[in-house]
Amino acid sequence: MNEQQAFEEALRIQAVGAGTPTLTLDDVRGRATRIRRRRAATGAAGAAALVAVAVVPIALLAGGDRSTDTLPPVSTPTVSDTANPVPVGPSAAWIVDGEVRAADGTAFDLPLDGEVSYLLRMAGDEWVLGAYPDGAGGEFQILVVDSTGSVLSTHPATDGGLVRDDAGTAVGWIGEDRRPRVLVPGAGDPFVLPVVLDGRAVPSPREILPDCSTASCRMFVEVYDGSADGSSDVVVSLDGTTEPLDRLGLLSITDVSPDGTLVSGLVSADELAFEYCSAVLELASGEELWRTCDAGSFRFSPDSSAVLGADAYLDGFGHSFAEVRDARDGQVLRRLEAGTVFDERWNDEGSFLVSMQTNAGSNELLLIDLDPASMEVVESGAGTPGDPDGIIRLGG
Amino acid sequence: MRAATEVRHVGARGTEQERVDAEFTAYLHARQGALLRTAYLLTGDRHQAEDVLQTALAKLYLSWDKVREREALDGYVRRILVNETTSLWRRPFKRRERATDVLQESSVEPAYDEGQRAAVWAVVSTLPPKARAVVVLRYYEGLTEAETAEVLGVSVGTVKSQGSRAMALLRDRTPGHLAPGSREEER
Repeated sequence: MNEQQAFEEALRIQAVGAGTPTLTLDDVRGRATRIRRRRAATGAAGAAALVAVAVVPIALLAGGDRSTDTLPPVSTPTVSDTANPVPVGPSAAWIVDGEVRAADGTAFDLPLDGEVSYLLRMAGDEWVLGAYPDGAGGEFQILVVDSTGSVLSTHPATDGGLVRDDAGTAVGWIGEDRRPRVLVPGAGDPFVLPVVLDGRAVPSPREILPDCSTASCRMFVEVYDGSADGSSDVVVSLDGTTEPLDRLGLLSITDVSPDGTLVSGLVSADELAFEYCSAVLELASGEELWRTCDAGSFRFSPDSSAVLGADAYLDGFGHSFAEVRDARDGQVLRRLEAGTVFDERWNDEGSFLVSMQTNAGSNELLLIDLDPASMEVVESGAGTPGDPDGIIRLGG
Repeated sequence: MRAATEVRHVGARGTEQERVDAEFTAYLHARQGALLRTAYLLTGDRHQAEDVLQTALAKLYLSWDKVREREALDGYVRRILVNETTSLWRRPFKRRERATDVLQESSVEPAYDEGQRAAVWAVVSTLPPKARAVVVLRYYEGLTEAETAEVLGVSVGTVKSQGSRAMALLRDRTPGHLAPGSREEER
């Protein structure tokens, strides 16, 4: 038996383990409602002032693992609103071998066995985990822990996501009663936004807007209406009001800038052509500043001047680069070519972290400084090559 | 008059939806078994396989009337499966979607093993996602290099290099199971 036959025979036998398919038309339609919303109305709003983006062409590295050699010149991001500086949130953190580690040197063991889906850090050195602890009967829980890993409190929740405001002063999730919950540092228990979010699937919190407190708080939430139109984004407030965000014309919202002026999100999705375009808009007016179909998942830097994203969902090989663009005009400021990019996260306004796997199968966590341009391997070789469980997961 | 027109539109939409549902259901019944097996080889996990297949089929359902060439359906779904599999790795730590049904235990036992299947699968399961996708499409689906490149949306050269990388790993890690001197037969 030669090598090709060995592959074919092994795969043919292994495939039997897939079991018996059970999906029904209702299952498929149910999932379809959660994919994209208002497909026919894509980009209808906010496109009047579209500014075309000239993306700096950068040669791909054939078979290369990672490189900074092909980067365009580094531009120093400018602060968009120096008169009102935004407090910089906590630095990024990650999980390796059951241990939480942060860029500032904080480290502690995870306080549970089981799946940890989310990791966020609040001001005051409290950490919030979204997890499926072993022994919890498969229930999703929010755990608040201190910087030694001791559990301070636990809260039942639905697994729609866990979000934090950019300053690290509020963390939000959706309770089992489908009402949003918000926890502020030192509070012990969350307060409730008095809005019940109906829908076919669990709502997904997307963003807590700046200046959230027990007196006033607003959260962006993606809700799934159960119709063929799929999801829509709304703002829910502590005063019980709900405001639709259809005026933005976004299929889904990715992030709101820490200064509260800009929003990024998906503006079009052509599933058949595999084309996914993202944009940055003025939040107040809905004016589209720029859009690109080359990259997406843009998250704003702590000073709101830049966005960090990855290449769009173009082919079957996953994401091959992470890049930083000017938030106002979309100019590419920095691009890191990598084997396979799994996650990218701002560390502070001048640096970001990239979790990637090299083409040789090694998992690495890279810290990229924008100015002066530099790159440091923070973690390397953790986990098992090719095994998703070995990927270095980012949070913070 | 206006009301009657609206009634006819509602009726037309209903009929159109019924047609789409009927066509899609027929495709679902005919193909989901094979597609689930491909998804399983890509993900290495039965629940994740059903999860990515459910998403892939949902995207197909949404685009059903745009796919003019019905023979292209499988290729379209395969590409989404690969995309969704690599996207799984980007989701927060663990998959967030949960399959709606519990998978049945397979009642079919492999008739052939001799240790080779386990050894080869061990290599496949530790391949980086790019090489793994190429291996599954080339050696399970039986696609040519050109067809694999088309499904993945990459160049033939990329398929060749990733396939060679996987084959080299297979040689290094399972030398005892392969015939000495044997080499990949190009299709």
